[in-house]
Order: sequence, then structure tokens, then C-alpha cells
Amino acid sequence: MIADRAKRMTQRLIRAAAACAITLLAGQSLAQSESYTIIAGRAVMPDGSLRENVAVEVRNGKIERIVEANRVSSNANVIRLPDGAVLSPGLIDLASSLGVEGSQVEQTRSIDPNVNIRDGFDPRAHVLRRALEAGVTSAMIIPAPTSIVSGRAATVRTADVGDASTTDGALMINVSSSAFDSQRGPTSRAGLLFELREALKEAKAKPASDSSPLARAVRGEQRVVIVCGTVEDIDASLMLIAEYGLDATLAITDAAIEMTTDLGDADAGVIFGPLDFNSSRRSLVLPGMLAASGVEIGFHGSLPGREPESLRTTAALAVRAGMDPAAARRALTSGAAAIAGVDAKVGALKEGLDADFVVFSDDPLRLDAKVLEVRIAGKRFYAASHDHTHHGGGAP
Amino acid sequence: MKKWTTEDTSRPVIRRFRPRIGALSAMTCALLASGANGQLFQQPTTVIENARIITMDGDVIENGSIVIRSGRIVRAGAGLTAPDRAIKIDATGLTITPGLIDAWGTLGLVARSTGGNPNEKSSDGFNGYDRDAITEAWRNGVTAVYLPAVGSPGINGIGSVMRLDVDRKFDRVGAVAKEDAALHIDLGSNLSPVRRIANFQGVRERLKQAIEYRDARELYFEEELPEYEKKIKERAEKEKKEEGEKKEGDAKPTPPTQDGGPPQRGGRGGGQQNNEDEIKKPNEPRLNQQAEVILKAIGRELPVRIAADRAEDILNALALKEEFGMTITIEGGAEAHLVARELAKAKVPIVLGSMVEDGRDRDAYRGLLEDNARKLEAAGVTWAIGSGGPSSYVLFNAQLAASAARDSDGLELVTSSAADLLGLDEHGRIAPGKQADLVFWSGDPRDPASRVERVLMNGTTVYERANDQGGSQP
Repeated sequence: MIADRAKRMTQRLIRAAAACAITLLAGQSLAQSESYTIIAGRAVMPDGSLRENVAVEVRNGKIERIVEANRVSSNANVIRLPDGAVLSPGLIDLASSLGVEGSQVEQTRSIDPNVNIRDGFDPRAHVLRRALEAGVTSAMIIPAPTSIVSGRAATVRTADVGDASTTDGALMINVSSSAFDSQRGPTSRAGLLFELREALKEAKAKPASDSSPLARAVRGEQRVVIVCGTVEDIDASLMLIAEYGLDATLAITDAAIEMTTDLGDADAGVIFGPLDFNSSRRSLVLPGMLAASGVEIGFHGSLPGREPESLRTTAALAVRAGMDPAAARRALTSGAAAIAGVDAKVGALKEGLDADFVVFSDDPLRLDAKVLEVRIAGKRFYAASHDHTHHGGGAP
Repeated sequence: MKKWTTEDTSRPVIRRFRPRIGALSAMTCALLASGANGQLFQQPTTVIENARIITMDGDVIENGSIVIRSGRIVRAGAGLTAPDRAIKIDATGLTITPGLIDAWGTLGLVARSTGGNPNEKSSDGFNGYDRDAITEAWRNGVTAVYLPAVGSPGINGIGSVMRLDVDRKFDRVGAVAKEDAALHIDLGSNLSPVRRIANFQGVRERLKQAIEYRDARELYFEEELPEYEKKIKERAEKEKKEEGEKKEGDAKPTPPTQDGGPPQRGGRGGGQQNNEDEIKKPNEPRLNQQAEVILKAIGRELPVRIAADRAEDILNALALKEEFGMTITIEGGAEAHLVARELAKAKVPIVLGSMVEDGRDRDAYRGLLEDNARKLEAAGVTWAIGSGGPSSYVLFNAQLAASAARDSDGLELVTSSAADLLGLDEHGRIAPGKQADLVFWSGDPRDPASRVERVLMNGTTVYERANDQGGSQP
């Protein structure tokens, strides 16, 4: 079976390489036209705050410079956003299932680090378009956490921008009871932790040249996401992180409310959500408490099971329950990108990052803010039906 | 003034002083009527000052005041001067709105009925002691909720509007603002197809039976009973006449009756053969309280809310209206956008529920919740929105719907629009005469970072953030 898979993967790789070569060439010509300057009355900065009168200079689909709006040279290719509109980095959904249908995880083994969710991703899935129109430009998709190590996540864009669309992501580790399986084991916490420890020990004993995912993880070269359910799960995870020096993010539940200080001390990011109108008070206050303890948070919108507005609804509910608004905006953008491991590419209005933008009619935390425009790698993929933007100079 | 000397000490004092008392009273009245010191005998006035007031009744008032007396808004505006003895509330930096109204919510509804009984009222199922849930509602500015009568598929009870006002005598919350707001019919959109069809037929049957009952009672009261009474009367008159004739002919021997037996009570006496039928009293169709309620709905005295999510169920609801002539509002309507044209044509309004995942089977409902508001608005359907569940976040829900629909504002949907839909003339706006159910916000209520600082119900403070111990908000 493994041999077949390797063969299939090789074939896919060859096909992908060929496709890449073609799209790279096509991508070049695409990117060259994506050069302009956006002037926004308000913009969401990397620290999550709203800054006024910001100009973002885009060249070849990347952010070249951020300056004050009145410093823009007048002959630039200028797009002026309407009054009240807010320019934001594209929203990022974490631990998502966007574009991955059906069972995506091998169930035969409890530890299977070589599975890559990219193989199961369909870039033409309709839900991606729906998410894009709601302002979600990237999603960290994960193999379902039904085994202890279920493979690698990947971060995908919600539109096809050639080879830049997909990035390999974190290794998924699961210490919660959802990894239990009576057929193949483990069937208990003790059993689970034993197996995991054995695997990590084995990985640590490998030579520095070994490039298997777990070996790289214990060397700190491969990020991991650890899925937790209970407080004990978080405890065990923090111990493993300390013991093996893992570069980790924890996917948590509202049980974490009892451990906000420990999480703050541990310097691990967390993934949490979604919140809705039926959420318990514990869940509602948790993001605010974590942010106040200095924990970086990214939101899980549970897409596509829920509407993509679920991400902003989660943020709004967290803010109403006490979360600092800037922290909430980070949880949708720069914080989420850091957790997904793509903060060198997307997630913030910062020099050198791709021009993945959303123009909202107001602060994205306000649920009545409409999505006016969505751009990925500088190219406009969506504009609301009545065109609000005024174009100065030539249109991009 | 003349000295009050007593002329006759035997008369009671009061009688002697009566004319002077009269004069005194007249003077007091005059004093009261005069503007200058009128406060002496009036209700205390409360004045909220230095507020930004979103009246939902015109423009926003910057740096304004609201004058409240006896729980009612007297006036709201800028540059008002407060009466000297008024209780003043300084609202500097705060924004005041009318209390938010959830047009469809289940706040405090803990006693769920089995359903099926139109005499049950949802207000009876409201738990006014659930302070946690109610305080959470105040924290989010909610002051009134329409409580549907839920139960089982079919015809259920009567919904009502509950204001979150405190009954200090019993230390509980809940003042019925509108009793008998609507009869509830649930078309069972969650049921399997066969059961849904059976349920719908069951509803039609019940409605038809109510009409038959009405017809039977009408027949009884308008025909059968008068007919019977007429016959009784005629017989009585006849007997009287015969008695009279008999008296006259007492000298004459009474002719023997044909059969020799005693003359029948009910028969005609005298020389007539009597094989007349006994006059039977018709049976009054027993008063059926449930059918009476259903008849009020059919007669348009009582509005009807029909819970229907699937497109086919919504069309069935329209068919019910067509057949029985009730005034209906659709509740839920997840697939309403698929039949928007039909709804617009029938001029039937709809109350939408939650815009986010709320446990409904996603695969069962085609289409997207967000599309609903936009397409309904485009088709000209009158739509309103509630929470469909716990009422606290009804404004957020309305904002989600408003973000998709072009001409809607989330705040308006849960204040003036909701009040208009529910027929609450004294709520939903800050205007003279309205009840003083007001919310003080630290910023724009549509901004999630805003906090509710204070809630007034009927002009009295029921919630203050400064005193809120158990809040989720720091």
C-alpha cells in the first residue's frame, strides 16, 4: 500500500512540477499587472489596531511600502477607497476543512506523519469561492485529528494564484480522546502518551540529516499543532513541548479557561473557536482572558461546516465578552498567519508580504460591515455588485 | 381674612370651616396648576443629560436630554432645561437607544409545553427567576422579547411579548407587554416528508373542524334554538287558548279522547287527534375553548405565526392563508428566498431567525442564510429578524442580516422595525409618550467593543454595569 502511494505521489509530483512550471511563467505576467497604490481612510495594522489615512503601495502583487496617505506621489496608479471603508489583510481560517471533502485521514495507523492534506485538497471546491467572497483569503486545512499523528496541514488560498496557492504546514499531533480507536489503538490516555513518547524518542535519536517530519519536529525545524480536549491534555502538551523543544500551537477547547496563566507562560499560540449565539459564558470570555495573558490566538471558524461569517462572528462575540479589539483583529489576520506558519507571506499589511486584501465597509469586527472587495496576490477576485471604489489613473 | 370665630360650638368644626376649606382647596389647585412651583405634588421627574441619543424616530441628537415622568418619555432633545427637583442622570460620553426588541426569541422559556393546545400561553412558560439569562440579555441591551408558543408540530398555543422589567414585589422579571400576540402553527420542517404531509393535513383538519364547530353553534343559536323556542311558545299559546276554550265550554261535557287515555301533555287537547311529534330540545354544541381560539385566528382577530423553514412548507402556509383567510407571519423561513416572489405577492411578512449555525441540519436547507435577507429585500418581501434562540445577541444577528441586505440597519431592525412588526406602539423609539425602556451604551451599539452601562425599564434602573458582579465582560 505504501509503495502504491509512493508511486501515486511521484506521479503527482511530476504532474505538479509540470503545472508549476507553466503557472510560474503565467504567474509572472499576471503579477506584473498588479501594481498600484491603495489609499484607505482606515486600515488594519499588523498589531491589530486601526490606523487612519494609510497608503499601501503594491508592486507585482506584493506589498512594497506602507506610508501615510498624504505622502503618495500623485502620478501613481491610485485606488481611493470610499469614506468609512477599512483596508484589511485577508482573513485566515485555522484548522479548516475548506476544500477537503470526505475522510482525509488514514485510519490504519495511529502515527502516520507522512500523509499530506494537500493530496486531498480540491482547489475548485465551491466553498472556497463562498469563503473568498466573505473575506477569507487563506485557510490552514488539516487532516482530521482522529489519530495521534495524522499528517501535515497545509495553508491554501481561496483563489488559484499559481504556485503560491498552497504551502506545506504544521504536523498535526493529537493528544485528546478523539485519537482513541478500539481497532488499532490507542484506547487510553496512558497508551496514547506512551506511543507518542516512543515516537518522539525514536525521532530524537535519528541523525541530523534525517528529514522525516517527526525528526524535524524535535529539532524545532517543523512546526506542530497539538490538539487538546481537557486540561490534562493541555498539561501533557506543555510538558512535551518543554521536553522536546517543540515549536507548537495548541488547538484548545473552553477547558483551557483553567490554564490561561500556564498558557501565557508557555509562549505557545492557541487555536480556538468558533463562538456563536449559543456559546457558554466560559467559551465567550476565554479569548479575552488568553489575550490578556499574552497568548497569541487564531480563530477556528469551522468552515465550511459553518458559514464563513462564523470567523467574524467569533471575533465580535469575543470582543463583546471583553477581548481587546486589536487582539481580535490579530486573531483573524497576523496572529492566525503566524500560527499557520505563513506569516512571512500573508496576514498583515507589511512590506514584502503578498497583497492579500479585503476592503470592508467598516471595522471588520462590526458584523454589519460588508465585504466590498477581495484581492489575492494583488489581483482582484471579488467586488461587491455596486462598485464602490473610485479609480484614479488607470484601473489595475 | 376674617377671623374664624365660632358662632355655634355645637356644630362640628368641619362644617363651619367648609367654605374656607373650599377656598383653601381652590387656592391649592391654582398653585398646582401654575408652572412655577408645580413640582410639589407631582411624580418625580428623571432627566438624562449630555447624551448622544439615537431616537430611531428621526435624527440622532448630539448632547441631548431625555425627560422622563411616571415611566414615560416626556420629551427628548438638545438644549432642554431640567426642572429643579428632577433626578438627574449624567450620560456624558454615552449613547442612548431604545431597548432592543427580539422579535422571536426563547429567553427564559424553560417550561416547554407538549404543544397542541391553543389555550396555552407562552408567557406562562417564562421563568422570571432566571436572573443569569436575563442579566445577560440586559448586558446586551435587550429589553423585550416575543416569546413564541412552541411545542410539537401542529397548532400550538399563543405567543406574547414580555418586557424585561423587574417586579419588585416578587423579585422576579417579566411584564407582559402584549398578551395574545399570535396563535402558533408549526409546520414541522424538521420532520420526515411523510410526517410533514400528515402534519399539514392535521392542521387543515383542525382548522376545518373549528369552522364546522362554529357552523354548528351558529345553526344552534340562530336556527335550532329559536325554532325550538318558537314551537314551545306556540304550544304554550295553544294550550292557553284551549284552556280558555275549555273554561268556556265547561258546561259542555268534555268529549272523550279517541283512545280513551288521558290527554297527552304535549298534545293538543280538545277534540283533536294528537299524534304530533314531541318537541325535542336541540343539543347545544358544547363550548370548545380550543376551537374558539382557532376561530379568532380565522376571523382575523388573532394574528397567526407559522413556523416553516422549507420552501414547500412556506408555500403550504400561504395556501392555508388562502383557504382560511388568516393574517399570517412566517417564522424562520430558512428557504424563504426560494419563494420570495410568492411571499411578496401574498404580502406575507417573515421573521427570520439566527443567521449563524444553530444546530439545523445544513444539508436539509438549500441555500444560504445570508442570501435570505438580500433576496427577500430585493423581492420586496417585508422581513424582520429575531434571534431565533437566546435573545442576548439579537443585535449581532440583525447586523449579519443587514450586512447582506442593502437598505437595512441592524439597530433599526431590533428597535423600531421590531416594534412595528409586533404592534408595540409604546416601544422601539425614543419619542414623547413612549415607555422609558432605555439602554445606555459606552459607544455605538453596533460596535462589539461597546458595553451596556445602564438599562432603564419604565424609567427605573434595572441594570448597571458598575454593579454587575457576574458579567463575562471585564
